[in-house]
Amino acid sequence: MSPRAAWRLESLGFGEVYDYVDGKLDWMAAGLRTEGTNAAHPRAGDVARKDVPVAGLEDRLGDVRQRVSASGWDAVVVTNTERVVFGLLRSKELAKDAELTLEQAMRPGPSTFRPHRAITEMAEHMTAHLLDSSPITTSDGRLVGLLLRTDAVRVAGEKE
Amino acid sequence: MPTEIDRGEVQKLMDRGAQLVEVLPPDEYEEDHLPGAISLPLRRLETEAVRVLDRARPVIVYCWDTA
Amino acid sequence: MNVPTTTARKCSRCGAAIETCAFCDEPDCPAITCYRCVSVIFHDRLRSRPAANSLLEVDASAER
Repeated sequence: MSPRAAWRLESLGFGEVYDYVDGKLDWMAAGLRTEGTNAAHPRAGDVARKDVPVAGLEDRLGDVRQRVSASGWDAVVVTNTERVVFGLLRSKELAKDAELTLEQAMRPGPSTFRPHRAITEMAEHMTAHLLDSSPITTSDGRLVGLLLRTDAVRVAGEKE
Repeated sequence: MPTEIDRGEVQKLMDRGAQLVEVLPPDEYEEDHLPGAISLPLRRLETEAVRVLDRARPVIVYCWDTA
Repeated sequence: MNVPTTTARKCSRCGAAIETCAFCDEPDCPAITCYRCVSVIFHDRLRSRPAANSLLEVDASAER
């Protein structure tokens, strides 16, 4: 649609026309702000916990487990220095051998979701799939936060 | 020939005073649109573009995605 | 004689054979769904449905 619009505007005499080909989906998937009726509704990126512990591939599981436990969390996201998500450890992974590196212990390449997903939708699916938590990432794979099912369900319930 | 741009360039052009146009149907625009965008559905481009847009300023058009 | 110990799972929406749920990464998910179906679910819900009383709107929104 936008290419046709761009070309048509040129033919109507507009001299400087640009086509943002990746469109609104790209904008929203990058976690950028939008306006409109949906903008007022909570989304995954708004509700995700930004203070989720993060650690690197080479970190020792025993050290990370101590840190995570002391902060009251039972999950840690494995990222690089750019906050690109490589893996996830939940209780089961965190209970593994302390001498392992996170790279060895983690669930690699976890499913992630975009910040603009409606919280009602996330609550519904996380409940159906019994998913306790999910990393929320931008379209370039960077961590926004960890969405907890309990938070998603609570916020979705408040919205109604 | 229109120039294809990415979202970083959208922001730079907006800082330069570009007009941002969503060409999707109005109900989609109402739900979500880029900040500062106006709604000019593709089907109404012919009749309204010249009236609504300033030919002297850059125009950026967008829709949903590349599909 | 060896008896297979794993059971092939099928996507709960389309029946495609899959190993783990694309939504939650678990092989024993009660709503196990393939990647394609997860993509379809979310992509469909992102796009507004065209106005029911407008054929013109239907045509416009069907094309991207």
